[in-house]
Amino acid sequence: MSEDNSSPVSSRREFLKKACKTTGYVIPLVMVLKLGSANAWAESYGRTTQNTASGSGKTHDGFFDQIGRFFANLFHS
Amino acid sequence: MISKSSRPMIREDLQQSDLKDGCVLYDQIREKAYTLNITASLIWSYLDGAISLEEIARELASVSGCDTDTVLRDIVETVTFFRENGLLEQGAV
Amino acid sequence: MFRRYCQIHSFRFSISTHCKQLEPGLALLYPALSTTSRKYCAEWSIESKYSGKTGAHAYVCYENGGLIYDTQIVDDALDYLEWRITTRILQELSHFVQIHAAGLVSGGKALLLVGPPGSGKSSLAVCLLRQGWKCLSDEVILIDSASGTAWPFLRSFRVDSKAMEAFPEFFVKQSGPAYCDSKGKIRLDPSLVLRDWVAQPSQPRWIIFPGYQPGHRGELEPLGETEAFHLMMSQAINLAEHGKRGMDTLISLVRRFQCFRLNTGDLHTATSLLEGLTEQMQKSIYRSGQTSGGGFIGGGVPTTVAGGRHE
Repeated sequence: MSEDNSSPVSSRREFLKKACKTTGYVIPLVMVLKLGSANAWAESYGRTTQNTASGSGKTHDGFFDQIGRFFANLFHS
Repeated sequence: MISKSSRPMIREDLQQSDLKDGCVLYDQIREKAYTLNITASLIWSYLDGAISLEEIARELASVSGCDTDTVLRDIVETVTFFRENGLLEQGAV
Repeated sequence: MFRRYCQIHSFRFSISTHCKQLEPGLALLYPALSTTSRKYCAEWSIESKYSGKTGAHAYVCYENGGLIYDTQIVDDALDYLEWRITTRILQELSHFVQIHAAGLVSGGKALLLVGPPGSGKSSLAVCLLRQGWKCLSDEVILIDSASGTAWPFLRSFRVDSKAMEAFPEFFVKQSGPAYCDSKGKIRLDPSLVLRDWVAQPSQPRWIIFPGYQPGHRGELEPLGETEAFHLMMSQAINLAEHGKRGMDTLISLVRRFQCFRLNTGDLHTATSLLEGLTEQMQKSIYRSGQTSGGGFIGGGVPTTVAGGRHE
């Protein structure tokens, strides 16, 4: 497993070596996100597909069906 | 099934960006991004279809100073996650 | 009749009402976008309606003359209208990478406060405004992918009613009832108290991820690139539009600028910690003899800053 010193493997290897010396063994971690998944942002307005309106309000023009791809990802992560 | 003798290979079409302490993978088809910490990104960089997980574990154990069994268990878990999320070439396991 | 003409970039719109009772609430929406030009391409209005038949009273929202929403709760009507307008503005400005963040500017450099609702972005933003910082937004920052510049998205602040107790001057100046959103946060127009509070588009310098921790003495903890990227991405609004290029924009931000997690249970400590960052920048500029920023960034990982002073 010899590697060129400038390769990503080599630099990752060196970084991990230093990190482990400082903090001990670093457990591998992978996090996944759907692009545009800012559900939190939509929820900060109290607006999601499940909850189109807060209070007793009613929407009249199918807004949440119309907003398309741009915001669709906000609600489907 | 991922085991210590598996020799997985990463999907070639995934876009990868290196960061100082890890990396980001972008799966354009599923519109998903994966952030890997330094250990996971080092595991990722060894998955070329030729090296077994056992060999990777020995290498990682020497780098981290952790015992091989613990490291192997973590590698199997991580690679299983990669496979379940469709990040590996099918049939290469 | 109340009518306000607004403009953000090339998007012009108007908001109006014939109902006197709704005027103060409507006046709190997008005050900083107000313009004298009477041209607009979208129009929203809100009216109070009474049905003689059923005896029911409702607040009714219209978009370009068409009915879009009705409710019996005035706060709910204003909240819906604001959500609807904000959503439309973001669609119009989709060429920017949009981050759920507050943005403040000092010395021409922007500090981004990135975090989910309840993390204290707006309260911190108000604190920094009172210290003389200028504002890009308390909610959404628009990043130009090509230049990395942060552009303003100005609306009324929405501050937790408990945090508002720290800013009594706003209560005094704000006339009429305190309008709340659906989460019970109070709308607040900074221009009632502060002059010249709006920032020009600016290059970011610091990216802060605030986390409210009751009882914590206060600490700025440096973050690695990978974790900072993940936290930024989790608050990105329209990355699906931008794909890899949008991700590269975020990667460039976390590579170029200092990223910290702000752990605190106290607004004043948090403010002094953030103020300390600008002092650090000024000292750095002084030391390197530079007249503009650039010498401080990329000089290695800074040590943790705790308790309101640098160590």
